[in-house]
Amino acid sequence: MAQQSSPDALAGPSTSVRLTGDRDLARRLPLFDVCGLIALAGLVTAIAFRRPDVLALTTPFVVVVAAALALWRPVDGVVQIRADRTRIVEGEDVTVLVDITSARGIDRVEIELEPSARLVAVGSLRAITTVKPNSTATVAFTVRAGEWGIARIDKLTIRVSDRFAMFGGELDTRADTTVTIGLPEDRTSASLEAERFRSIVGSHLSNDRGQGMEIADIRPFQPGDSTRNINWRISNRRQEPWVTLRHPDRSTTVVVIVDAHDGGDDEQRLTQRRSVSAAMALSRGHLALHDRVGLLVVGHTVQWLPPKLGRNQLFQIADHLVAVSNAPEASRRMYRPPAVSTIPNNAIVVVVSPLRDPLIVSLVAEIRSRGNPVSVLVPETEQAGSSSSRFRVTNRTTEQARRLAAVEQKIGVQSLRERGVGIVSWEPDQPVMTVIDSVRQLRMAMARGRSW
Amino acid sequence: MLNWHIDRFFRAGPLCALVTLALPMVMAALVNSHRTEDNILGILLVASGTIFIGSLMGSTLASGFGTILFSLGTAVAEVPVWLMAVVGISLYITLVIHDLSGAFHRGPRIAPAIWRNAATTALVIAATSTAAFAMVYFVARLTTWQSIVVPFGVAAIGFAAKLAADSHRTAGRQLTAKRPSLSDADNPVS
Repeated sequence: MAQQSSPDALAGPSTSVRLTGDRDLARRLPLFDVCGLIALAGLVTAIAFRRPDVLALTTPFVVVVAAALALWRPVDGVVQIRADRTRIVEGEDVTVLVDITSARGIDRVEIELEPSARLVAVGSLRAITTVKPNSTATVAFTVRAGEWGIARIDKLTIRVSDRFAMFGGELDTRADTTVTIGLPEDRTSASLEAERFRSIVGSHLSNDRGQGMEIADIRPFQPGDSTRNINWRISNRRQEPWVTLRHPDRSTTVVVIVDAHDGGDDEQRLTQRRSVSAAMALSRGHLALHDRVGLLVVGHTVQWLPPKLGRNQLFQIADHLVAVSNAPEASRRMYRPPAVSTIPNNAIVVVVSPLRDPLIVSLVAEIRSRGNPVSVLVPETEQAGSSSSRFRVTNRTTEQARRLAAVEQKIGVQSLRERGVGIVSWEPDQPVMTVIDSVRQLRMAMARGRSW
Repeated sequence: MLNWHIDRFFRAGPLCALVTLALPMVMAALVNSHRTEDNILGILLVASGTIFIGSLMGSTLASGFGTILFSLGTAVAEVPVWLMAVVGISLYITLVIHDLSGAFHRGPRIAPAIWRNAATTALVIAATSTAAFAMVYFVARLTTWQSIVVPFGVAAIGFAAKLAADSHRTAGRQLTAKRPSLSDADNPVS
């Protein structure tokens, strides 16, 4: 069996499986043994008991065994599997196409797909067809995106047999067809107000005075003012030159830090999903404002995307965030990524983390100590007394550990607040837009109070 | 419309399995009506049940055992030759349907060409085997049984064995044949 992947201009990469010359597909099937045994028994009985009429019972089996042996040819062909789309959103359908090409033809070929848990079958994922000589048979399977993340076709099973079902075999192979499933709320976007700007034109409204579209103020003409800024209507009314001052349109740098904590149980996976949707909304919103956006994912693996502009950066961020869902559980975590020192000093840092671990708290404190304005979104989980956790079996030790963790989290939150980190709690039923708006208001209030 | 119904029927694995019970039972009733020996019906019904269980389990060996038992019961029943031929063809068709029921389990999507091919193949095999048996039986009845059938039988068994061996040897050679490497193909001179 030869397997290779090739890029497709119209769809994602396809996987090819070569059937020609595969010994697993040239085996004797049980029906051959049964028919051969009946044929042999009939011949022996007819001869031994001198009863030619017994041959009437077994002649069809003799004929079919002889025909199968005489007409059998080794299987040749190529099976190619591809998906019509490689990026979809939760709940959308994707069609997986399997092309079977053969020069000699295949009398019966069975294709069975086994997708990963994130893909749900729509209808049967098994199909049986024939391939005529020098032609291609295409079988289409539909799967639905069940949960966000990176999904793939785990296994492709190919079973072939001749027209008498006497010779054939089975082949299992792993397809490289992957589908990236995004969150439905990925289309939302939100942004924060910037305090420090880069000297590059953007869409933020700065408090400074300069070149821009928005009128900030008017004042009498002073030496050095450009004559282009003279407000002729006011100047005419006051009989002296007055100029119009405008807010300059500036851009800023935003770094989103996502705590890729364990997604072991349903509650944690829900928290992870909310974290990712918030990070995605922030990234989309700021990139639309011509801000540079960077992403730092800390947890099982550290992923650092330096701040950049543009739509391509949004795709990069989406890919990195989707990969968070496939992170292995309970592996060792890394909290002091080297990328921390590369975060620009004037960047707004937004951390999405439940702050359950003291190490992530110390990471946030370190970034804050470098002078960056830092906000933390804390996705809260269901309360201990809620209906879902009321019947959970807990022992005394577990309960005490949970209380200790809660106390530790509160201490961490308090210490961060004292350092000037804006922390906003995110309740489970609160939409992402609302909570980001809360962060914006908190930051504005803190700016007014000169908390940082 | 009829084509659609047949298509739907053959797409259902359990229905195919049910046919592997119904067909041998009809044959059992037919054999029982022409039998000259006693206690044949019980053997045939047990054999029919075994074939059906084999189809439900997806075990070709179990169905094969049932087929052999059914053939044995029919041979013991001393029924007319034409009925034996009908039973033989029916048993072969039963095994074909058994194979289809195994392939159609869990409701896959099936191209209509699959059961059409199976039906065509079964009909051709039935016609060929009927003609072959008629010829053999005619020759056997013409002359002394011992002098014709024994050498023919021995030769048939030997020929079948040789045919099988040759076929597999050829297939084995094709599979293990050394293919020219990529560099040889690029540079045929070397």
